[in-house]
Amino acid sequence: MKKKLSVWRLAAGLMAVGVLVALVGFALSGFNPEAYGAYANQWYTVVHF
Amino acid sequence: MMTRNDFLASLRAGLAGHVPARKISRLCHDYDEMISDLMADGRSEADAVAAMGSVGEVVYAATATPIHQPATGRRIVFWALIILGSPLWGSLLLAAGAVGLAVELCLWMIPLTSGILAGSFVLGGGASALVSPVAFIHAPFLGLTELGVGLGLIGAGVALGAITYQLCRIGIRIHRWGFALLATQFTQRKAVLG
Repeated sequence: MKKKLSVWRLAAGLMAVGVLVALVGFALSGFNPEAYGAYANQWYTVVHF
Repeated sequence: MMTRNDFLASLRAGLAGHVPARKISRLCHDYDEMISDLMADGRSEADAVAAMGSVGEVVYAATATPIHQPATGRRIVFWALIILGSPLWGSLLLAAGAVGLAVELCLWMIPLTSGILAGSFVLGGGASALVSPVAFIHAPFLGLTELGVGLGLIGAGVALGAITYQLCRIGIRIHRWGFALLATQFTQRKAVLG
C-alpha cells in the first residue's frame, strides 16, 4: 500500500516540479511564446560545441 | 389414491438395486414428464398416475428389458455423428474462437496502449531532461522549459505505468474469474450426471 502511494506521489511530484520549472523557463522568456520560435525545429543552432 | 410423488418414490424404491442409478433417474424423469403432460391435458393427478399403470408393472418392464445397448454400436454412432456434424460444430467452434480472440484483443489493447504511452513518455521526457543543460547554456529559458517538460513527461509516464500495472491486474483477475466460472460449469454438470 505504501509502495503504491509512493509511486503515485513520485509521479505527481515529478509532474508538479516539471510544470513549475517549465513555468519558470516560460517566465524567463518574458511570457513570450514567440521566443521559442527561433529554436523550433533547428536544434543544431542550439548546440554549440 | 396415489399421488405423483408417491408414485415416483415407489418407482425409485422398486428400481433401486435392480438398475443403475442413472437409469432410475432417467425413468423417474420420464414418468414425471408423462404425468405432467397428462395433467396439462386436463386429467386429474390421480387419473394421470393411474394411467401409468402399477409401480410393479413398470419396475418389471424396466428390469426385464436390457439396460445397456451394445457399447461398440453406440460408440460408432457417436463418432459418426461427430464426424458428420463437424461442418456445423467446427464452424461454430471457429466462430467462438474468433469471438474469444477479439475479446482478448480488446481487453489487452487498453493496457498495451497505456504501457506504450508510459514507455514513450518516460523515454521522451528523459531525453528532454538529459539534453536540457545543452539548451540552457545557449538560452536559459529554453533549457529550463525543456527540463520542466521533460520532468513532467517522466511523471506522466510513471503515472501511466502505474495505471498499466493496475489494468494488467484487472485483466488477470477477469481471466481467473472466467476460468473459475468455466470450471464450475463442468464440475456442476458432472455432479448432476453422477
